[in-house]
Formats: sequence, structure tokens, C-alpha cells
Amino acid sequence: MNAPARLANIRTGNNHPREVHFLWILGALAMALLPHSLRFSPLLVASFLALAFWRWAAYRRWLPLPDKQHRRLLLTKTLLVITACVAVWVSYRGQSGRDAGVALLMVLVGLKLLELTTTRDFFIATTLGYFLVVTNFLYSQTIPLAAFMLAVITMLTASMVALYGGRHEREPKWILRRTFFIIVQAIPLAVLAFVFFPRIEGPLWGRPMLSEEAQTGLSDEMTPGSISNLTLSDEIAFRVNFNGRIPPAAERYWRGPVLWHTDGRTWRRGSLRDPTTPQVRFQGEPYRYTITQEPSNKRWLYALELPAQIDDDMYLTRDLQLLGRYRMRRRTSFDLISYPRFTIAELTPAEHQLGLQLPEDAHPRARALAMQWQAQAGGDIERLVRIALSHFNRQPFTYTLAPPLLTEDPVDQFLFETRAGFCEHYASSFVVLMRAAGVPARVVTGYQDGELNPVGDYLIVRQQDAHAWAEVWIEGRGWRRVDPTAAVAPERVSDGLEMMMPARGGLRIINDNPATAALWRRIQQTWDATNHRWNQWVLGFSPARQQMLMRELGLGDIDRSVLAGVMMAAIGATLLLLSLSIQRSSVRERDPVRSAYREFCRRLARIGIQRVPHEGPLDFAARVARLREDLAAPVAEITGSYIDIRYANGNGRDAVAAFRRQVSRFRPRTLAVP
Amino acid sequence: MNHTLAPSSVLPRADHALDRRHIYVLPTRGGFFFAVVCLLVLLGAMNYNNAMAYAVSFLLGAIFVIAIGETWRNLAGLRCLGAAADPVFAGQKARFRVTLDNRAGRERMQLELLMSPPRGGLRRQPRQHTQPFDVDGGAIIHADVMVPAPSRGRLTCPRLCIRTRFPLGLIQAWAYFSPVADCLVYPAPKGDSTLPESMQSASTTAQSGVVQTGNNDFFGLRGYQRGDPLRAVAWKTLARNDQMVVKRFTDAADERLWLSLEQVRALPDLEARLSQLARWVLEAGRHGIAVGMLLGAQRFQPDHDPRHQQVLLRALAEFKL
Repeated sequence: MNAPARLANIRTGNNHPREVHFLWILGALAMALLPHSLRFSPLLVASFLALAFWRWAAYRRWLPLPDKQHRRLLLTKTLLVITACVAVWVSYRGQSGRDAGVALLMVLVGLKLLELTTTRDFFIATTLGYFLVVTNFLYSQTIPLAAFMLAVITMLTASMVALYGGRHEREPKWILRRTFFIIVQAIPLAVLAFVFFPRIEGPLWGRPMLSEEAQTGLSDEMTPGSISNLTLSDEIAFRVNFNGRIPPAAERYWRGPVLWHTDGRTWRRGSLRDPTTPQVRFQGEPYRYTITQEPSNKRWLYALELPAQIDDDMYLTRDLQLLGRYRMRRRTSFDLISYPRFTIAELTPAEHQLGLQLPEDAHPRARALAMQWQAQAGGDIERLVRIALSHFNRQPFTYTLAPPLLTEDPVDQFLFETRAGFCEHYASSFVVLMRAAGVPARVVTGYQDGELNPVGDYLIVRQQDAHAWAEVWIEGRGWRRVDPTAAVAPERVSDGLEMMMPARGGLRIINDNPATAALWRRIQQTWDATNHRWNQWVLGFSPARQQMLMRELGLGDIDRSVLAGVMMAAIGATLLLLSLSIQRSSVRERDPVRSAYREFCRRLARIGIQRVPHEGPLDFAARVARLREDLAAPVAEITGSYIDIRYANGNGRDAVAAFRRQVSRFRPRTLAVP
Repeated sequence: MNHTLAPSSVLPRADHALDRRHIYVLPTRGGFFFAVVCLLVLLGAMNYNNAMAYAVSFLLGAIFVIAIGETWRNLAGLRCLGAAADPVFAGQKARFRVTLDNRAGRERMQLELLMSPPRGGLRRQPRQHTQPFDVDGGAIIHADVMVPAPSRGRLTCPRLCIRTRFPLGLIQAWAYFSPVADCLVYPAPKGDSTLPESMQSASTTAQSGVVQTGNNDFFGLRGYQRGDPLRAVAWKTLARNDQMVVKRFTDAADERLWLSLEQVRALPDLEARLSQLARWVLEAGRHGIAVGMLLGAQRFQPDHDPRHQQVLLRALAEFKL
């Protein structure tokens, strides 16, 4: 025994966690609650802090705890629990179950703080903390939040390590190091599980009515000002990855709701209820692309005009709107193929009628103008369109984000008085003019253009790209797109709205300098590209995407059960590897002296002299000397060194090294039989 | 009779280090709870198609799996070198001092020595009054286990269980070892009979030619040895300079006392008789009387030495077993 023996430091008294452990768990829980504190009533946060303070003060012996020794306080606690539950029920009644559930969880966690006494209580509090982490993801799943929540999970785990920290329990560095050690090992395993765990398309028991974030976006109504309001938002509507060619800006019309019916001011979808799909002839080269649409809480999807091939769970209406089966509550990706050139041959009577609908007695001046143009054009619709566009172009019309308020007949007032408007003004008045001239026309809303992100090579379409244009029916050529805004402000269509808007985010000092502005823009683009990949590959990792990945990995169309098998095998293999590595690392001889001596014995065993378990080194050496006189000297030398190290002079580094050299030089041979 | 009183130095036996075949690993109650939470989060993730909830559930699961290895590693490679215990009286608890060899290992945290195997699974752990202890890397350590010693004789060290729940408390790893050790249990000193009359003897002093210790006249101090009566400890000296010393006295008149089973024949059974004798031996020691004893065929000459007292008690403990 060359190491001094020490008596285990045995603590007396109960083994309950102490203040230091409480501070760990409190810190972790507070971190988990932090994002919620911005969403929930400050009262909730304040009560949590008050309860936390109470528990802390009890550790400091400033305040008593509600336990068996303080029955009155125990009653107070019961009352607190009831009050809190009632308060949550009253405040969140009728609202989303999610908010109520999370609020209740927060209250329970706060009250659990008061009960933190035994290790078991701490364990339960930690587990509630993990639940709190998950509830944060019901609201948002962005990269920063995910990173923060990883930190929270680390802290929660650290608070468990602190409970078993023994003599290191007051060394945060030690505790964090042990925790990192665990988390760093766990992450690759979790990633494997994330990729290979067989995904199931939910819901299992019914999806709650919740969507991740509040949405802005196009609606299926249009009044003057509704789109220009949208353009103030730089929220992302969808992102598009092109597989191959990218269409030029002037062809990037993302078709949304088609509006047929007007009451003079507001445009609506109208009463066209024709379930048939129109016969479309596609021409030219198609674009292939993937759209990742942000949750809009609407059924319609946006697609480049005009999609030819669509997924199973969406369909094309008669007026060429792409509709999904459900409202888009989550971020969704779908693959599409669109042809920019297409013709539709037929116009049903119902469509014809709706396409000419105008409110009675409205827009008298516009009607008069239209009649005049009709006479000019003489039945040539294309000419009529040209006349109208040149009217917008020649008269002093301006394109502005802040059009003057229209108080009377909006179309007449805009066309003949204010002459300043946004795309919805131009589109709606153009359609009114066409209809008044006897040409079926309709308003199409959607997005136009989009920002090309060179980092990641995809298109970002934001709410500010919202647009409205018109379509007119030309006999023999079908529905044709006419964008009257382009006649007034061609740069709106070619360059997008971006030029007219102040740069997004950032300080003026950055935007004024071209170099820093470019850098800032690059940073924004990189960040958006990262988010896009995150959305596509992490958040949008659906069963379909998993299958796709499996195919790419050469695993083919794997059955779910096979996938589950692979998963279990992977876990099993990990465990096996783990146990083997542990086995090797910790049971491997760490005592060089002992292992060298064993090697010495092994070498003698090889020539037939086996050391028996009860034989001491000296006895063994004596026996070897009796059996093999030629080996007596080296064996005596090695045994002497061994005994010297073990029982006399200790294991100095030099002595050990010399001993190992002696052993390695010792190569006994079997005697040749004479 | 070479009976050592201090825990005998334990020679390393060719013990196996704790390894895969010796260590059991199961989740604790908390571990099961944690696994259930993990599963609930997974179900929630499936229902809400929430990628990050999936990630949390997988991360927690992975932490659980890693904890298995970590807990296991905390125990693997440890050796138990043996145990030893000082004699106790029946009815007391024997303190087995277990020697653990961690020369081949890293620092180990929160080990516990238990006398019964830990209950795995969902059952509640019985209250065991052991405090977890930490072991330095490369160290040899002693840890104590208290074992009730109900009756006289030899108490063999029970099969012990070493357990750890480090680092997360989700998993417990444990292993058994049965150190070859026993504890001498003296008969409980009981009985109401008064000490028999002793006889004066001047011959002892003359024969041995050394000063015998008694308890009347103070003649000096010497270092404390195990077995010295606490009454003789010089407490004032201890308070002054932290040295445990005992006061020594000489008796003017040396007394000798012979004890035998004959003197306690009135008591109902052998155990009661031996208990009475044990009490007398202690009492005589307190009074500085040299006690001799006739026990069956054994004969012990009267002596003052505290060690002699231990010899007598040991004879009583092992009589007719």
C-alpha cells in the first residue's frame, strides 16, 4: 500500500439538499421561464419570484416554510394553490388551452419551490423544468430559442449533478464541467435519434387550435389600403428554392386569392363555386422549385403562375388558385412545377357573368371613360387594354405607399382626383374600367418579385412584396395578366418595392455607408439562409423528408418497422461501445508496477513456470532458481526491484522505469532438449 | 495468543476489481420517472409535430443513456481489500471498517455502503443510515459500516453492497462483496451480583520486579492506548495540548481476584453467567484489581494489563461456541 489511506469523510445529519442546490435549480427554472415572462402577465412572473424568494429566505432562516411544524402556513399554501388554479382558470377561460396549460405549469413550478426539501422534491422540480423547456417550443422554434433552451437543459442537468456533487457541490466550475461532459456525449446520440427515429405524421389525439406565431398576410378581401398596410411588414411570407433556372423579376408573379366580386369599395372572392379544374395548355420551359411557406392560417398557397404539377394534398380551383386541404398552421414545404406561359380555352357563363359584375350606380365617371375607350378600341380588347395602360402612364398618376384617403366613390375619386395610389388602387380601378367596357376581368392578389439571397441561392418573398394585378379575358387567347402598376411605376415590377423602402433594420450610420450597408446586407442574408435551412431540415423534418433522406443515404424506401429496428440497433450498439470503452479504460491496469510484474510472470509461464496464486514473489523467485539455475540471477534482480518498490523505497518514477526496463529485457527461453 | 485490538492491517488479496460481471445497473425510482417524462414529451412531439419537442425528448433520452455509462464508470475498477472491526459487546453495533482500493481509478463520487441490496425500480428505498462518501483518485480509503451484533461470539462481516447514483441520480450501479472479516462480540456486561472478595498478594510485585499499575497513588502519565479506561484519561492535559494521555497509579496493596463459572452458578443459563463474568471483569479493571479466571479447561493468571482484560473478555466471548 503506497498510497496513504484516508478515512471517508462521513457527514452527519440528514442528507437533504441545501441552499447551494436550491440556487442551482432556481437559476435553471428562472432561465426556462424567461421567454415565457415576455408572453405572460407580469403578475404571474411576480408571484413566481415571490415564491422563489420565500423558499430562499427559508434556507437563510429568515422565514418559516409551510411544513408540518407550521400548520397555519400549510393552510396558507393550500389556499395559494387553490387561488392560483382559480386565477388561471378565470384568466384563460375560453382562450387557447396552450396558454392556460403553460400558465398552470408556471404556477405549479412556483409552488413546488415551496416544497423543495428532499432530493425527490428537487428531482420533480427538475423534471417540471424540462417540461417548461418544451412548452417554450409550443410558441416558437427559432435558432436562438433552441440554443437558449439547450443552455437551460444544461443548467437543469447541472442542478441534478450538483445534488450528487459531494465535496464538489460548491464548485460551479466542476459541476458545469461534469454536465458538459454528459451533454456533449448525449448530443450525437440525440442527433442520431432525431434523424433515424421513425416519424409519424401527427396528430395522435387531435390537434389543438394553435399556431406558432401571429400572422400577417394577404386575406381574401381587398380594400384600398389593405395591401399597402402589409408592405410595411418585412415578415417573410415564403421562401423558394429553384431547381434550375430562376425566373426574371418580371415573371415572378406569385398567385394568391382571385377576387371577382366588388361592392364598389371592397373586393371579395365571389360566389364562383365550380369544382372542375380548367383545361390549361402549357407552353415553354417550366420552372421547378420548392416553396417553404410560413404559417399563414389560410388555406391558399402561393405558386408561380402557373403550376402544372402539384402535390396530392392540394388542388387548383377553376380560377387557378392553389388551395391546400387544411389551413396552413405550420411551416410547410411543397414541390411544384410551373409554366410561365399557358392558355385557358373556355369561359363558363357563370364566369362571364361574374367577370362583368359591377355594383349598380357606382363609379359613373369611370363608366363614362370606359364607354369612350370602348368606342375608340372598336372591339379590339388588346387595344382597349393598351389605351387604358397608356392612360395610367400619361396622366399624372403616381405610385405611393401612403395614398390619400378615399372618402367618396373610391374608384372615381382615385381615377380623376387623387391619382395617387398603390397597386390595389390600380388593379381594382383597371378591372372596373375593363368591366365597364364589357370585358370580363378579375383582380388577382399575391406577391410579386422577391429578394434573391445569394447565400444559399433562394428567393425570399416578404409581406412587403404583396401585390395586386388584373386579368382580362381575351376571346381566343384566354385570361391574360395585365399589371397596371407596371404602367405607372415599371421599377416596382422590375426592381421590386425594395428601392422605395428604407433599408430593413440596422442603424442609419450603417445604411448610409455603402460598404457597411453591403456588409450588413450580407449578414442579414447569411442569417436568413441559416434560418431557411433550419426550417427546412430541422423543423420541417417530416416523415416524407425522412424517407427522402433515407433514399439519399441509399437505404431505399424503408419500412417504418425496419427503421425502428435500425434505431434500436443503433442505441444497442452505442450502449455496447460505451460499455466496452468503459471496460477497457477503467479496468485496464493503471498500476505500472503491477502490470510489469504480471508481464514478468507471463514470460515465465510461457516457458512452463507458472506462478501459483498463493506464491509470494520471493517464494516464486526461489522456485524459479531451483528449476532454472541459469535464470536465477535476472529473476532475483527483478524480484528484488519489485519488492524494493512495493515494500521499501516506494515507487519513484526512476525506480519504476528501471523496473519496467528490467522486465522488458527479460526474455527467458525454453531449454533445448539435449 | 496474538489477538490484535486495532483493525488488523489488511493484506491485499487477489481480489477482482469491480467490472462488468460484478456490477449491476438499474434505473432508480427517479430514473423511471425521468423515462416516463421523456416518453410523454415524445408523445407530445408526435401529436403537435413539434420538431424541437422531438429534439428535447431525444436529448433527455440520450442523457439517460449516457448516465448509465457514467454511473457504471463511477464504480467500475474499484477493489475491496477487506474489512476489520474492533470487538464490541453484544447488543452494540459492530463497526466494520472496509478498505477500498482506488489506486487504479479516477476520483469517485458519492459511494454508499449498504448492508442490503438497493431496491431497484419503483419501490421506495428503505431508510439506510449511510452517508455517501467520495474517494480520491489513486487513494485507498476506509469506510465504516455499522452492523448490529446481537449475541456474543464471532460476527462475520455480512455481504456488503456498494452503491452509487452519481452523477444524475437516474441510474444506480451496485456491486456486492463479502470481505473475509469478523468481529469479536463480547458477552453483554450484565448481572447484579457484586464483585467477589479479592485477596491481597504481595508476591506479584516481588516476582515481576516492575511497578504494577493500580489506581490509588498517581505516579505518572503515559500515552493513551486502546483499551485504557476513559476514567484514566487525563482530560486536562488533553484540553491543554491535544494529547491523549492516561494517568497511572500504583496500588499500595496489590489485589488479586479469581473468577470462575462456579461463582455464578445461581444464574439461569450460560449466557447470563458469562454476562455476569464479563461485568465483573470490567468492574475489576475499573478498580485496578488483577483478575484471573478459570473457564472450563482454560486458566488465566491474574494480571493488571488492560490487554489482559481483553484476553479474558475474548475467552468469555468464545466459550463453548
